[in-house]
Amino acid sequence: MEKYNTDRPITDQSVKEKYQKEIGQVHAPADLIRRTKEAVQAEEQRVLSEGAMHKTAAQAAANKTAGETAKEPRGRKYRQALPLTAAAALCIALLSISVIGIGGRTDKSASGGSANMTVNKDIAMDMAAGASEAEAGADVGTVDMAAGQTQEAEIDAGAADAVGALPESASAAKESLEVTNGGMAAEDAMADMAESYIDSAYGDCFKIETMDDMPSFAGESEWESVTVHGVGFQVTCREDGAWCAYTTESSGKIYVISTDLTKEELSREDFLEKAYELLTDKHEDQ
Amino acid sequence: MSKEEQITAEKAIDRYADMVYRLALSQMKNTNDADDLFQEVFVRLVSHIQDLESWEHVKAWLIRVTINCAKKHYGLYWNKNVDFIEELERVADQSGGYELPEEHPVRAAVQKLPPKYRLMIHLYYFEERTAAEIAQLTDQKESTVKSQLHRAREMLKGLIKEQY
Repeated sequence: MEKYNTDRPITDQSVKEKYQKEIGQVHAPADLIRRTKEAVQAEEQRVLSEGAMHKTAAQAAANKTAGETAKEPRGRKYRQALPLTAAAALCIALLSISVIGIGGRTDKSASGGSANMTVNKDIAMDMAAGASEAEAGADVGTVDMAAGQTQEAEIDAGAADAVGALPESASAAKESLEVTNGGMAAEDAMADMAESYIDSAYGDCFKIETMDDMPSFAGESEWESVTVHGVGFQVTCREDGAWCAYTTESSGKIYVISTDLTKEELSREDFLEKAYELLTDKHEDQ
Repeated sequence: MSKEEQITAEKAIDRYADMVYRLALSQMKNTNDADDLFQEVFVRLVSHIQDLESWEHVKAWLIRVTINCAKKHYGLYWNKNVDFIEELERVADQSGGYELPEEHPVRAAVQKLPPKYRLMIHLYYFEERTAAEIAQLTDQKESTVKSQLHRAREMLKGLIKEQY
C-alpha cells in the first residue's frame, strides 16, 4: 500500500487534499448507471400509469356528481388532503416507536417510575427502519440551503407511507406495554424516553433522565465532583467505558446524563459540556 | 425554471451519479450494497422530482436520502463503534467485500471508522459542507456534529499514523 508521507506533519488540510484526490478517482460504473436509468424509467411509467388510472377513476366519480372535476394526480391529492393527518400519524408513530425503543436504553440505569419496562429491541429497530424509510422519501422541503428556504416537514408520499405504517407500530407498542407494564408513570416516563430515543435515532448519543431518588448505580462507581459553569456534577466512567454524570438540584430532583461514547472517544470535559447543555435545554423545556 | 433546465430523474443521474455513488460507497460494507443504495435513491427521486425547484435542491435531497437509506440499512450499528468495525471485517471476509486500491491510504483509513464518523468525514472533506449544513442534512444539532467531526478527524489521523 502506498505510504502516506509521514515526513510531513499530518495536518487536516493534507488529509483533506489526499482524501479528495482519492475519492475523485471513484466514478459510478457505467453499467450501474444504465441499470439505474432503466429502473427510473420503469418507475416513471408506473407513476404515470397510476396517475392515469386515478384520473380515469376521478372522472368516473365526477360524472356522478354535478360540477366536480377532481383531476389531480394522486400525488398532489395526497399532498392537499393529508398533510395534517399525515403529520399527526407521523407523531403518533414516532411516539409509539419511542415507547418500544426506550425501554432497551433504560436497561443500564433506573428511571423514575419506569424501572420495570422491558422492550423488544428487534421490534423497535424494525419500527425505526419503517419510520426512517418513510422519512427517506419525505422532508424534501426542509433542505434547501442554496435558496435559503425552509418548509414544514410533513408532505407527500413519505407521509402517506407513515400513515400506512402507523397501525402496525401502534399495536406492537400496545402489546409491549401490556406485557411489560411495571406500574410506571406512563405519560412523564414516555415523554422522557421519547425525547432520548428520538435523539438517539437521529444520531445523538446522549440521554438525560429525571429522577426523584438517587439512581441505584450511584453506589457502584467511583464518582468525581466537577463544576461546569457553576453547576456541580458527579461524573464517572461506567464498566463499559462510557461516561455517566448526575447533578442534584436544591429541590431534590436528580438529573442523570449518560452516553454511549467512551472516554477514548470523548473527553470528560467535552462530555460535561454536553451534559450542561442538555441540562439547560431541559430546564428551558419545563 | 426555464424549459431547458427542466429537472428530470434521468438528468439528475447524469449530474449526480458520481456524488451519490461516492457517498453510498463510503457508507456501505460492500459494492453490491452500495449499488443497491445508489439505485434506490434515484428510484425514490422519481416520486419527489416535482417538489424540487433547483439543482441545488436536488443535490441536497439526494445527499439526505442517501444518508437516511444507509442509516436504515445499518439500523443498530449506526450508533455503535467497536461492533461495527468487527462486523465490517467479518462481512468483508465473507463477501469478498470491498477492496480499496493500494494507492488510497486515506480512504482505507476512513473505511475503518464507524459509519456516522465516515459520513462526517466525507461530507466535510469531500463535499466541503460546513458543520451547520451537515447538521441540517443529518437532522442533528450543530454542536453534536462538531463534536462528532472533531472526534472523527482525530480518529482518522490516529489510523493514518498507525498504518505508517
